[in-house]
Amino acid sequence: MGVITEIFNTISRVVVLPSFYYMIFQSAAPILLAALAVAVAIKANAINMGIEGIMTVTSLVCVLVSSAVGGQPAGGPWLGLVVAIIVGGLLGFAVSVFAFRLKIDIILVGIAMNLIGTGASVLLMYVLTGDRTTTTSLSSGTLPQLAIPLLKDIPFLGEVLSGHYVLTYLAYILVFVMSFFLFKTKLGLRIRAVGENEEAAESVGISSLRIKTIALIISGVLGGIAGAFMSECYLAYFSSGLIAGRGFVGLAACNMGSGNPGIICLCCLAFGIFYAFSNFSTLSNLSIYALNALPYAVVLVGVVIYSVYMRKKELKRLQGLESEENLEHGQPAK
Amino acid sequence: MSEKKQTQGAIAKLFGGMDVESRFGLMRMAVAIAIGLGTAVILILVCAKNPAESLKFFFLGPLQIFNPNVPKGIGWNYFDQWIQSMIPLLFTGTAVAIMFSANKFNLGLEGAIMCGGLACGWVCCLLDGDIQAPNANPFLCAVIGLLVAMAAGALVTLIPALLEKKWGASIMVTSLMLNYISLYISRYCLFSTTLRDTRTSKYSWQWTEDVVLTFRKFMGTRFTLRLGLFIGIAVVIIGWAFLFKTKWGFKIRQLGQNPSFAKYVGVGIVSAGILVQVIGGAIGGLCGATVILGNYNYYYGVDLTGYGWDGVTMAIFAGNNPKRVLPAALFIAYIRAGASIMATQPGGPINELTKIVEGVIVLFLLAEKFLAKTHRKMIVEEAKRKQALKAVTGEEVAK
Repeated sequence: MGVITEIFNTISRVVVLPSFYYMIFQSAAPILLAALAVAVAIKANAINMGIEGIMTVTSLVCVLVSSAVGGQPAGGPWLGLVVAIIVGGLLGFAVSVFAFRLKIDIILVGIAMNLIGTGASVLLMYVLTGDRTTTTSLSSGTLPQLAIPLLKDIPFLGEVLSGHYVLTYLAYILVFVMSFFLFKTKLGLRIRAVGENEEAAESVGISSLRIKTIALIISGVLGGIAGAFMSECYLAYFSSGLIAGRGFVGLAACNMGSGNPGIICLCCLAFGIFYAFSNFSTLSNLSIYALNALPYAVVLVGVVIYSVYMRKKELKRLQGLESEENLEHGQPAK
Repeated sequence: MSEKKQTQGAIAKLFGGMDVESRFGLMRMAVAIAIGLGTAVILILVCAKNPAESLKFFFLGPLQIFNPNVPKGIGWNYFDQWIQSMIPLLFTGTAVAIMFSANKFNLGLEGAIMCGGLACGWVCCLLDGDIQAPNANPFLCAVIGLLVAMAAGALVTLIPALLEKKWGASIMVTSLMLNYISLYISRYCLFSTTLRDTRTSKYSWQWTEDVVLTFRKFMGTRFTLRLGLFIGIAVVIIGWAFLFKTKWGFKIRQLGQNPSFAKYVGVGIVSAGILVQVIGGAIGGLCGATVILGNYNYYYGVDLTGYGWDGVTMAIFAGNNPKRVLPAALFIAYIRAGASIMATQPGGPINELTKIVEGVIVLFLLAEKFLAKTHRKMIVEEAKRKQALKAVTGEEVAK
């Protein structure tokens, strides 16, 4: 009973704080970026499990480039972001080459990518900084936080919605951009066509190889932005455990949103609530480890609930088909 | 020209007994390993302050016992590192090989290892630790610890299996999340329960040295005897026998190769699918327990071990056949031990570079289109040879 009271106490202490809501939006952003990255690829029927590795590498690249050109005063973070995007795109391309040109199971390519990504980032960090856990010795700086003119003066809402990092806003803007891209543009239609039925797409003259490659490059680019978020917004340095499965959580969010950016965004915000909770562990007597495990547990439960829902929907559809068939055969529907 | 023919003839004699497919498989493996090691050489040349020395330790590190210039104690220590890094690979390789044979991408092995280690540590602390009852029989205590660890590991991989069976939740996603949940369960138990040693506050309570599966200076020699190695080899053999010599193993492989066929010939695909994941998790739990009992006399699990992912690498190396897990483990453990020995030398790069090497080898091992031209050429040559033989002898050649 004590635990339950404590949970309620914690919640009541935390939900009144504007910074809690601020944290929700901030901690959902990298997952959202990762989930969108996975979503583009999934729409083309390619599971980009290497997203974790791509995020790890790009977040390190960001820091290195930024500090190399002189850090924050010299606009280093911006250059870091650009390079991260390019590197991410290249890694996405690499995944597509291995998966589709060299014909390797794409999940295994992703696992190899994560392996190489973690190894390469730690090695690179060690060679360039002499430290094998963090790059705190480099001053790489962060991307700017934006104060939105009128919004920031509104008492509670201003604190929640204004003053986020540039990439946080970009993440939520990208939800709309990606929905538009996937559902309203020619390339988006082709990506979905290839994902739905490769042979049919080929038969009308779409090169499925090319489309899948493009989808994975876009996925890599989004992964690069997610990586940059982690080392230039979430923290101002890179450390070896920085990504901590956020790429995988993105994968789960994409799974739950069935590749639909809007639903993905809602899932990520829901996960964000629990990530935000773990940031307020000082206000709670609950175990910090329980709070840390919370986001992953919620993702797990979320995926299960989603699957139950989908199974019910599928069952209903099948029943509908059955009754239609019965009608055709002159039998009354039940 | 004739020289080339001669060498070809010699090679053909050497591999005479093999069919063209396994010959090609062997060649592709050799090329992939060569590319991987080539990557390592390039990385070492670029990163190391003293490349020649680093390369020597990378390639020959574990074999320094044969080097008269290296003190014998250090040489044996290096050799022991090879054995030590091989032990978890034997377990995880077999576990993933069994799960992948049934096409179940359960990635929860990492969590199973974590929970297995935790459960075993806790049992040993309770039965033989310095909290209470320090007089339990150490052998019995280790056995109970290993069994409980197997149960705990099996539970971790069983959850995604059941969730998939009941509601169709993606195994991959749920098992990945369970890894992180296991990590925090382990941290919670270690830091917030009675498991924690209040004197050091970093580790669990200790258990008596007897439980540890490692005997340093065995029988007065410099050799370190690790019982974990024997448990690991036993797991490999049992895993192989299970997968290739039993009815269930056959069903499982059927399920992996062609699920619809398996279903129609009456393989209980649901129960077979769940069974492999339970077995995989149990082996994972055993792995965690063996590593804990083999290296420490206290529980210390604050980070994911990465052994679970090693299992995927191993299964790919072994082509999902536990029989080949042993040579694969020998190889991977060798380069890992070499790399970590290299890393301890002044100016040497760090051992993380083996991850890159492993990843590269995995990619080239799996690439269907890699060396495809050579493959085709080999098949054509084989056919021509058979035709020529047929023309001479006038009858069909069996091989």
